[in-house]
Amino acid sequence: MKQKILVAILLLATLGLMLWTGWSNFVYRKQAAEVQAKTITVSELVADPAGGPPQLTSPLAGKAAPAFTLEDLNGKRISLSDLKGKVVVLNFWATWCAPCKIETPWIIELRNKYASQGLEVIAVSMDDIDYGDKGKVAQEKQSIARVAAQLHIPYPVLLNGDSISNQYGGLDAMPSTFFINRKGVIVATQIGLSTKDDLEAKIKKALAQ
Amino acid sequence: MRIPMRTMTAIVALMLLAAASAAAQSTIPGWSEKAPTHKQVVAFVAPATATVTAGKPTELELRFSIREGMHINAHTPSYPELIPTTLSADDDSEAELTETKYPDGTDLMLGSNPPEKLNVYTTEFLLYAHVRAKAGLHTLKLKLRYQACTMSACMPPRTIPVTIELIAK
Repeated sequence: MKQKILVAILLLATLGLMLWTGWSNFVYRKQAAEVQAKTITVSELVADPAGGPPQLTSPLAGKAAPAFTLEDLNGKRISLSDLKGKVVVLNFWATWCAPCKIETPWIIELRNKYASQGLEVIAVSMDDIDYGDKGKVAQEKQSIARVAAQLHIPYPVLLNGDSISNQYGGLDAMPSTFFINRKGVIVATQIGLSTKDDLEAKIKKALAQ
Repeated sequence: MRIPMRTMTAIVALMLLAAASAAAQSTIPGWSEKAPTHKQVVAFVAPATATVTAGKPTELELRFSIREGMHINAHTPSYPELIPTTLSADDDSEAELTETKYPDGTDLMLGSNPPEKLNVYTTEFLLYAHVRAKAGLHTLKLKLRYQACTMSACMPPRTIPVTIELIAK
């Protein structure tokens, strides 16, 4: 009799443990999925009006592009306001970002295709530059310039993107691209690698507004 | 057919053991109970304490977990601009890191036409740290620098602390 009770208790404990395990797994996976969706804390998944898969978008979409002035690889200071009246693709990238290497040739191709319609592209490097060490600064700039040359980037590459990252929503994932219309409004964003077709659609949207 | 009571007890005990084992694996060791922030891609799992030979370098196996769906560059990345995973000692560490042995990474193909071949660590990896400490109790303070990506985006490099309580005798 005692043994039967013991077996029943063990059986109940096993079932309880299995249920608890299942529940813990569910909670953990739910939390992990939430964290994954918040890879960009300031972004959210929104439905594609064209019926495509939901996309990560920045809350900056629909707002005026934050102003900035940064130095390019040649030491020239470039401001967003210099491009007033143009459609601007602002592409945040880094030399350590492999998806950026895949995306850059598409951006170059699209820039060449739509330049006659007033499209300008600006790349902003998110590579760390230690401005406290002059020797290192030159070395780090050279490293960025070398990769930009390898990728045949024909448009300006600005440095010290970290200094404007808060204005642009934190920029915790590369590549991050902002599509700015002629009025200086961000009409679309792309966080992470997309497709060439998707980038082109966003450029067309910016050109049309 | 009647199952003897002892056999039944043994079966139930085995089921209990299996359930307990599944429960133990339901969360990644090293993660906090609450969901980690998106910045926490790599977690130091073990050991929390270790015993080493006083005054002589001793090899410690350090285990790390990587968040599902993400990868970090191996110690020898595929190209020079990629940031390697490196272990180093904190300035205020009470024990010395004399050498680190890194595992080979695995190949990850990213994109196509042509694909980018990356040398990465995924899921879990082990580092072998050679440490030296004088006799006594010490806090070994190390730091792991890594740079993580998903298949479509990369996060900036991060550094996490790796702290081990050492007993050197």
